[in-house]
Amino acid sequence: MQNAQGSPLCTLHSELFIYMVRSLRQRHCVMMIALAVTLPAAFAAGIATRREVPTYRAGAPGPAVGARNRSELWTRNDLFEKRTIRTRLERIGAGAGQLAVELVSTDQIVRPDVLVYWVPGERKLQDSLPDDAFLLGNFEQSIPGPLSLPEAAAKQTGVLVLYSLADHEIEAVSKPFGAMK
Amino acid sequence: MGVEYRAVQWNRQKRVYDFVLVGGVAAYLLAFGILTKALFPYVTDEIMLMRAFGTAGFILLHVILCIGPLCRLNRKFLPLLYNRRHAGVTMCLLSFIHATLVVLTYHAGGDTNPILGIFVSTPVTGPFAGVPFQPFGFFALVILVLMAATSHDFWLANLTAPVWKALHMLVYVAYGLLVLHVTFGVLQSEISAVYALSVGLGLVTVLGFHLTAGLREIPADREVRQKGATPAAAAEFVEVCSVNEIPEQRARIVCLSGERVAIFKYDGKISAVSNVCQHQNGPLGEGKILDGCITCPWHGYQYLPETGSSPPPFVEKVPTFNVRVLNGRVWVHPKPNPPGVRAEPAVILDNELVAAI
Repeated sequence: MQNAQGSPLCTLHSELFIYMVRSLRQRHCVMMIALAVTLPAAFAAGIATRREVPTYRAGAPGPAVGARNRSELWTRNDLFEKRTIRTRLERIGAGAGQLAVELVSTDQIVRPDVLVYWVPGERKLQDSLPDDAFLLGNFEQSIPGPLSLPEAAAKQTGVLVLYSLADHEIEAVSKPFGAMK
Repeated sequence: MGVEYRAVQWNRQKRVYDFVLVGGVAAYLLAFGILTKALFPYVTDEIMLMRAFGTAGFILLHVILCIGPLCRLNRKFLPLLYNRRHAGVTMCLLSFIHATLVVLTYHAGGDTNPILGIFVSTPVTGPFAGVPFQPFGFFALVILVLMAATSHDFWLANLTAPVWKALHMLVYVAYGLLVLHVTFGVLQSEISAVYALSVGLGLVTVLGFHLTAGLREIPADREVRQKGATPAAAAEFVEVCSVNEIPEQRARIVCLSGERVAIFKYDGKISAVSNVCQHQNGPLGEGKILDGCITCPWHGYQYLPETGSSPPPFVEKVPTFNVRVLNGRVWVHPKPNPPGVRAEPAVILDNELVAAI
């Protein structure tokens, strides 16, 4: 750094370090310019490339809340042996429609991240989910709603499985059931 | 140290500032909770709390970042600067609560170490969408905690203001990381245009204020050069301005030898000191003479214009500069005197400007 006459700044430079802040201002300026270039670009890229959020469509796992033309096929309280869960099978939509199941538990199931699966056939499940288990959706105890079953459920029997995703454990398995009980 | 030579501890202004700060945050959290319950009843309590604290911290960070440039653009915002560190610590606390809720909700129930879970739980599934956003938030929080931990004047005094300020300039890195955290996190699933526009507006506001204020600062850093022949009486001194260009009891700021110098006019005299307050490097030249002392506009630290020393019992000192006045023009020697060394002020007598020694 030079003074106005072009000679080196006074020998007090090092002592006056705490009063030298122009370099900080310059660094601040560089940082702001860098942010002004990179952040809007990253933000725009993040917004422009975000994927479509999946919404409900027929045949896809998830709640069928809001579906019209719901008609009850049957309701059972004994489908699960170890748990008192009222199970209601519904047909949703016009014509043959699609099957949906609604589970209302009278017991409080204290397990993290409980999911509902439908497994085709009459197999006996113990520790793990089979590869062909079909995810229906979250097991909502506070606001239960209908969960869409796959098309295969209309043609063959299967079981419902409550599975804790966090614990990686099966919480309950239903008796086999079909569209006609 | 304050205007009345009192140390800046708890005073009315700080209490009011903190009351407004804490009250504002509490009101926001309450309003967020009520609106969430009314508009999105299916949102669980932990998600609601997570988002309430996260958004509160993010909004407060925007406010904090805007205070600095706003004060450069308009002095009326200076009261907001006074206790900005408390706002920063509050923002860090809000962010910490948000992070704790996230870790407890999403990472504490599995077999993986919860902190490790932050880095391995978000799959990378696309060029942009699917970017693991949680590490951005983690590293931003590390910076914010570091800043909050060193925010006390103890660290300011021991690290020295330039080092402390350089450290706290990391807040811009933290801000950048948080914008990425929000963009590649919640904005990937919350596709309403309102949320994206809000974040975009915040980004434009912060950057816009900083760039505008920065542009206004450029002229102040232009070095004052020696003009033409040097008068014998002002040998080696640099002509900086006219006496009439300095407002009474206030200063004109010029750039000499690479740093800003504040030239004050008061009681018929002219004195020059470093523009940099020893406390937090505030701009002394934007303050004014109160009770015979130069008073920093940021926190009220005071210095005697002739010596650059704080009045007893305080010990802060800033460098002084030798000053002369010739034919109504102010000349300043670019070589600073050591902090606290007396430099005789130039005296103005009967409309004639006479140099004092």
